Amino acid sequence: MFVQDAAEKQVGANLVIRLGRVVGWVLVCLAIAALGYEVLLAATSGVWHMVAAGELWYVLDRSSLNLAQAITQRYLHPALWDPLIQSLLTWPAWSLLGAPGVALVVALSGRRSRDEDPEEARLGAA
Amino acid sequence: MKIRKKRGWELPEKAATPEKIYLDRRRILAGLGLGGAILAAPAALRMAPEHMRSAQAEPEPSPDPWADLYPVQRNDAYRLDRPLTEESWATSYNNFYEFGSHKQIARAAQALPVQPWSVIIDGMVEKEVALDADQLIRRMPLEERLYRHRCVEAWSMAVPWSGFPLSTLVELARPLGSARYLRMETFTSAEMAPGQRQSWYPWPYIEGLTMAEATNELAFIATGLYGKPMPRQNGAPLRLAVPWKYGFKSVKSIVRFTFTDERPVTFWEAIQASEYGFWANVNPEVPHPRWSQATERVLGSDERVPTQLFNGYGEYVAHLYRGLGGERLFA
Repeated sequence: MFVQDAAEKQVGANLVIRLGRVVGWVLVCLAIAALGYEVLLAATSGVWHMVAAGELWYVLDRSSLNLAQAITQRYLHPALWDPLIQSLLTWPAWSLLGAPGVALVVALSGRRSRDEDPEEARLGAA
Repeated sequence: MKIRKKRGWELPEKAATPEKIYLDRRRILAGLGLGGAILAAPAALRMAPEHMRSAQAEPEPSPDPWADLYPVQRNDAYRLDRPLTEESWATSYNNFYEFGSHKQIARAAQALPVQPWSVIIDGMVEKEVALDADQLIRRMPLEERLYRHRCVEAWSMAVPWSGFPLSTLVELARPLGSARYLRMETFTSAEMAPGQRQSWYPWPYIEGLTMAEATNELAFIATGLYGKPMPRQNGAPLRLAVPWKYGFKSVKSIVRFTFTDERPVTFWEAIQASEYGFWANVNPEVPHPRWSQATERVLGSDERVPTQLFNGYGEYVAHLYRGLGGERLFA
């Protein structure tokens, strides 16, 4: 029974680690895409212009940005949006996406899930 | 025999409270309640709704330069079908996107410096001018009008605006015959208005009317509210009031009037044209994509009342839209 519980917990932990890595890599990819967009804009306009996270959100889906602000300020707390989220949205898009992405990838890269470790997998099966 | 048909917005004469009695009644109630209020204030403040608390906690703004102008004579041609909204509601439940998307922006809006305030009249006019708001307001024929105000968010209020007909400003501007639209613009100051620090939005706030709408007798430039100068959170020193349209059309704190032959792309139209279009006339039968416009919550009460076409002002404005069937007149 004890071995079975431990195995189930391990399966859950593995799932979280894998999910965290996937999210991390997705964020890193989005950060690279945001940086690419910034470079593309600079190349076409001849002027370097930092693309803020809010600006990128506005370009991609302005309706959801507007709705997110309304919901946050009206139903949660005004200060949650301004200054907190609003300040974050003024950061460069690549850094806002890239920083947590890199952090997740780095933090979880040293934690190998049990199915990736033949020795642990063998012990777990026992 | 003359048959007089009662208009939708009219109150019977006997039902209207004379202003003197209305004001006296408030004074009497205030006097009676003063003693109890002093005792009960701390508890009441804790129990008051959020909008009331923010209003009570507001710092006193600097003395208003137009305090000597109000109250002004009421124009009795414009009456209401409902009681006036409590002043505390109308001045503490505000949409002013430059200061945030929530309703408690009254405190933040006190940062708005209303003097000096320059108003530019330009574009297709005989002569472009920059006027000081003080100069402009003092030369206009001020009057008070009771208007209903219907927000696109399905709430409404009924308030006494003071100000002057927009048509008098149009006359003053002397637009060229080729001008077809009036574009109105509010201030830009990210230092003062935190909402404008969101640089991705198409600031400044722009609104527009056709020349026919701008010269309609209902179109009003409001400079005061409840017999006092316009509070900053309501759009000081001067704002538009077009009661047959949703509230977002009534642009606040105007700094520029531009006469043009091109239809302006308004602030909300640039953000979400499918929800907040150029015309935005009130129509209970045309729902917002996320909610019904059939009824409205009367601010300061739990009451919901049916919304009326053109907010009940169809007799004044319905003719403006004949022949415009291809336009999205009600969004």
